Amino acid sequence: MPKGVAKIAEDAVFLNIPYDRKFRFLYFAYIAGLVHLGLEPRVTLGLPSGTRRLDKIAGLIESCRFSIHDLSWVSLDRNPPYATPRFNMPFELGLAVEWQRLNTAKHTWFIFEEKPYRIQKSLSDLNGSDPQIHAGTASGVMRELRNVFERTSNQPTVPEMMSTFRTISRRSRSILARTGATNLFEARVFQDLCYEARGAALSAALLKT
Amino acid sequence: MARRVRITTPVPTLEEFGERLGLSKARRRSLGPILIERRSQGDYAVRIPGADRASTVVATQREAVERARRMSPNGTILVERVRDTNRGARDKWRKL
Repeated sequence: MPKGVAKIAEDAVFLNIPYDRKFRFLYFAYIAGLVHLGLEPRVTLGLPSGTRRLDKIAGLIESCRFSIHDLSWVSLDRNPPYATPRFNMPFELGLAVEWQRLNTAKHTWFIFEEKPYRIQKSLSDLNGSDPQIHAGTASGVMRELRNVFERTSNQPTVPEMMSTFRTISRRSRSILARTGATNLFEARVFQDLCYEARGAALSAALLKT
Repeated sequence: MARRVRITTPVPTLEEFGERLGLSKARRRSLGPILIERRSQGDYAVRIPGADRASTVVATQREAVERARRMSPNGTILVERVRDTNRGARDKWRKL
């Protein structure tokens, strides 16, 4: 892994999630929850493919103080030519684990899962590391984000985070139309969702005062 | 793996957050919420949260709302209350 590549952003969170339409509500939940907590989610969307991609992913992980790895998507991808599991997410978790082993003070990783005890079967090397169980729901993701990230002041509540989640879920269709994107997992759409989530969190805070 | 971490970094302003995301100024303006505030001079400022200066200043609240809608057709518009009502007092915000 290349060293000294990127400056570490203390409030950036590398988000390792599946880019699948069926996962879209949890995708919105992670964005809304992290942004509401005053954090900046970063993803691999928009990174170039090819040999440089691995360096870019490693650089992205190294630039983030935290990483979240949602390993709830343990299924076969049945798209041709072969039905295979997707290994990208566990691989990226491995990069983060190694980065933290080499630089303990610079990185902290968390695993999120849908079902309790499943990871002990799917990735038994991590036995002893308790995942956050979100039960496949947006409110579960918010609850677990609050459990792992504690703000010293103005810790948002789950209902406040859910309100931001509903706002960006509602606006996702207009963001798609505006950006001309074909799906939600494009860099431009991700940027807009993050910005709208920050705007919605701010509006909610102003209306509350 | 840590169980819980404490976040001490300040929450970024909307402007800072947009810049970090790499959004252009025009794009930030079209997406984000817009604030309409009454100034001490009696006119109305249309402002993006976190911006130092008002985007525009107009004579009436109606004009300010029109300008804000034009600036951010998709964004939320928050108007500073100028009267005390049973739903909110001065210095509170209402959503259009």
